[in-house]
Amino acid sequence: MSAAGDNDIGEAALAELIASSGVAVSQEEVAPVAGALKRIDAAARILLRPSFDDTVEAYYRLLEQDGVGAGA
Amino acid sequence: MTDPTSLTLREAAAAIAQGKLSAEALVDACLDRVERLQPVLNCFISVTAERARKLAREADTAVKAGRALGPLHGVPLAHKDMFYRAGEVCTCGSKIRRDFVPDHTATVLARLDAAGAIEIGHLNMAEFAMGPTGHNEHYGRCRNPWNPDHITGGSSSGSGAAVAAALAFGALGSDTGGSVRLPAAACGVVGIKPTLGRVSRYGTMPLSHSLDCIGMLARSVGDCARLLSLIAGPDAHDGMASRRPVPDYERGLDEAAQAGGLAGLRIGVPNRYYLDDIDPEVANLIADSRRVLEKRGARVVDVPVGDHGALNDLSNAVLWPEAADVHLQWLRERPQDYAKQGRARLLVGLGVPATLYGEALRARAGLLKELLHDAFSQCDVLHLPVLRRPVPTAAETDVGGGAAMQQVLGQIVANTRPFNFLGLPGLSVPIGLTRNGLPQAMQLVGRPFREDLLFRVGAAYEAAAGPFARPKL
Repeated sequence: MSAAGDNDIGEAALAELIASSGVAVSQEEVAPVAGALKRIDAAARILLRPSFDDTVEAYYRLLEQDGVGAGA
Repeated sequence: MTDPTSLTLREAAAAIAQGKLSAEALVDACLDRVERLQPVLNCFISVTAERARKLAREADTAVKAGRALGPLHGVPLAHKDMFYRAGEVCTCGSKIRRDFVPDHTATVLARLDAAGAIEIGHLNMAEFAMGPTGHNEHYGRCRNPWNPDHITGGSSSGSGAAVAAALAFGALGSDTGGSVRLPAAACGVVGIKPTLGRVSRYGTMPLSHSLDCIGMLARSVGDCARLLSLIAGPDAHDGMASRRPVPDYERGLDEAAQAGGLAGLRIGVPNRYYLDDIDPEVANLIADSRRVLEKRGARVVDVPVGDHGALNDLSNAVLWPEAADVHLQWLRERPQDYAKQGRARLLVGLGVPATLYGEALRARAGLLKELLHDAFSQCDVLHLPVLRRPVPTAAETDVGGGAAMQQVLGQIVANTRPFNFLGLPGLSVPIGLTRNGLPQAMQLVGRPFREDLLFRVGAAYEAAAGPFARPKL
């Protein structure tokens, strides 16, 4: 799976996926989860295009170093 | 002195330090209010009256002895029940941790203790901080002091209600998607979510380590500034806590509160998303608040932002996998002990592919860089509503874990969650009441670690608009 748009899976497969983590899930619980995952996937299609060098560390570095020396 | 609970936190601390008010009298006054209002508001999960009274007597002895006093000496506080104190039950708003007794104390509590604060009890919250309304199946819904039929906002529900009802002078909360700013807005108090990493999380309940921030609620901007000054900063127990020096956030507030105190400041209004489908009453209050800031010398400019609607949804790709990871053992072994809504949200995390979670985390650098470049190159502070609609009733948001859950809860956090994803600081300041009699708030968002600026803008607004109304209780 990737953020490129092939994340959609059926509810039965989703129930199986959740169950594979050792968590019991009923069929009625799966539909809202599938809906939430669809929204996440749609957002990912719009926003996710990190480059090879966009690392998690790059985010924390940017956060930590922004405006150092300015302000208070 | 008239009712001492009507003071602000800073006024109360000053009155005690000057010997005009005893800590014992103040603690008693707060506990009396707790006894009277707890049946109505359900703010507290537990009250630690005996310990609080003992500490108050010790605080008064210290004053009489002329000992050095901390900046919160003798001031009663109460906190969301997710901050560990060694030897005291910490429920995290859950059935699962109903009897959990931690063996260590949160850094933030230790720092408040060292400043002389007196904790009077543990506050209600959403189960494991997983809901934005104030509902809690295990301990009962926390009710809004302005109208008990309405939600308090959450997940720091008790923090918002207790501070608004003057049961405590300030309260810690946590903010993973809006959980400090939302109850602050809905209850008519000030709330700050600091920059990710500004405050240590050692000894606090985890939800999502990439998003969790410890914040606070109080009845004035200056009160929040004092609390943040005391708890922020590096912590040997928390490798994720920033080593950046902590400014005195109270410094500059008086100057900002003067006429023209915001001269040269640029207030940015996002050009998309944050005002979409906004209720006309809320829109008017937000526009009025901008005008107040303009009168204080600020210049209002429209600024571009990216697709923050998508950003809001994308944050679920980080929050829920991390939360599901933390809860996995209990989800396997004690599924029946979760409320339906919390469990439904955790299940989302089990369905997010690991690669998508990783991509979302890696994308944060680019998305933050984009906002800093596009919006914050043209403004100093973003200005937007915390909520786009008047505070709803509990019945309107009583959606359990069903199909309507994502939509109803998603609307509530629409304007707060993107800034958790980006890690930016946000300050909620009350700006008025809608026709239903419930408060509304503006949200000020700054560059990383510019809480100082948010406090100054907030203080300027407060000075111009005057003290915010209190609920009649």
